[in-house]
Amino acid sequence: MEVLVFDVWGDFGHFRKFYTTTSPLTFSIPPPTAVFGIIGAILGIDKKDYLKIINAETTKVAIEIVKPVKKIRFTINYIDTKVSFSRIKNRTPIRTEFLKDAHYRLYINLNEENLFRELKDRIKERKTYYTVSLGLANLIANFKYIGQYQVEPLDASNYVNTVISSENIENIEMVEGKRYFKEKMPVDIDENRVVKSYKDIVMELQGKPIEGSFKNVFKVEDKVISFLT
Amino acid sequence: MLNRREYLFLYDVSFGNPNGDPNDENKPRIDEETGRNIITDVRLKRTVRDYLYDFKGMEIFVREIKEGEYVIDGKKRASMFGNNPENIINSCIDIRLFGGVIPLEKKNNNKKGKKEETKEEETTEDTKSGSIKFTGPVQFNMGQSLHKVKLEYIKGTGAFASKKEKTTKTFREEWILPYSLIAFHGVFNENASKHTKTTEKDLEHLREVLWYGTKNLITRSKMEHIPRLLIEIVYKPNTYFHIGELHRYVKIETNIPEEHIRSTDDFILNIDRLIEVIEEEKDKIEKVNYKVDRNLRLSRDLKSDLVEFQEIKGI
Repeated sequence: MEVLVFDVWGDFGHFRKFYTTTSPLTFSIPPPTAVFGIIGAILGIDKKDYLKIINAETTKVAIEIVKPVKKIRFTINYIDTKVSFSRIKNRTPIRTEFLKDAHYRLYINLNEENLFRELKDRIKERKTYYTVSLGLANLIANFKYIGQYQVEPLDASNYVNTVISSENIENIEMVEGKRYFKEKMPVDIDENRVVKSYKDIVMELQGKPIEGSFKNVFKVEDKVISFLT
Repeated sequence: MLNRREYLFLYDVSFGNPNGDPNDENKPRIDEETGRNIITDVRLKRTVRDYLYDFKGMEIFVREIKEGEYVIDGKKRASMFGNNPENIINSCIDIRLFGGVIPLEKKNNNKKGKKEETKEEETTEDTKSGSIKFTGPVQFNMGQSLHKVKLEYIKGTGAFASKKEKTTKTFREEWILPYSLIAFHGVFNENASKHTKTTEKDLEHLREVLWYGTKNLITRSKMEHIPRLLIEIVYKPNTYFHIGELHRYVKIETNIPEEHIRSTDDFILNIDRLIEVIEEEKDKIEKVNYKVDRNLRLSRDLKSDLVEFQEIKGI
């Protein structure tokens, strides 16, 4: 199998956690479901349709943290346009958490060959149909082609460079100076944006490799990666 | 079919608060790590909306309409256009530019005593919330100052006493920035604009309004906002391309500490890299429109032998 490797980054990002309501918090990485959206935007598949084509069954996603995960919070003052009472106060200050200086490397395979080739061509030429963003439309992102590589399955590995689902972790060796983090996040949603599955994703927040013993991992050039989908 | 466009917009503020955080004593938003000041895209869009409405007399969807002492909500606003998204798009330039969520009364919800007369909307309707969401073809990133800023806490006197039957006047306290040069990066996506029916004319208005709307902010905290540089790259049709992160290609050059900058006299804006990048992508660019404030000193002229640069006149 081949993977397309590309970077995506931006000054700010926001991938809203499903369990936050009035004060939106953000995941530390784009969940695979957000990656589907990024691919859909680049290819120009309408937002109503892309999940039919780009989903956990058709798309393999591995995510590496390139720059340390940093978060910042501030309040966005929206004019409230969506309250069911007919008389409202005019502003809704929403305290929101953002990722700052977010930068990720994505390892992608699409099972549909033509689409995969199209995606590669577009990323290589930095072409995008819709504007790519990190979670919200106004958090404009940039992206860059890294390469296309052969993927070698490994029986096991004692380290991994990408984030990894806890189901693929036999054990983790804690190393001083590293910052480990686990988040439950959606890995697949259906066309109506109902989440089909969640996974516990383990990551090292500075983007350093994680040591331990891992299964279902793959070698890509000098990196060991783990797919989330 | 319109062309993709990309914007770099710089303005500065002297002794003001370009964008306070209401949950943080209305302090200007500062990135503690870099010392730079952050301005939300919502603030910039507000500037554009207000100017379109107040000075150009154009209709915008997102504005305050009072009914007695209250402000009407979005559903009421939508009902003023017959709950017809088509009408709203045709009437309101802000939706054509920035998109928006248009809340509509649901036809078959269970709320007691509510008789809905709205038509069921076809495909774009979010069935759960009964609203229609248009992604704006024009998006601006958060703005950031191009340098470290200094945060100052000042006191002034208010005109009134704080309570009845008090003899002394109250004190007003506020956070300000002595100076901040702010850069916004934006993209107009021609494909997203098909959904909101943005027109060439709308984009001309946007260009004008970024400049003059900023100049005409006349609340006390937003006096002294001066537009300094506007660059609009117009790409050739069907290139599906834009450079990205234009704000990263301009740099402040100064020989005083950044937080001591107080005016355009204290620095030069280096645009060498910006022009280089524009020239690198010359095959994809139709032309570059620009406007510079006469007080902004640039490292070089805004022109190129490879790409057509055109000064925006008449605004």
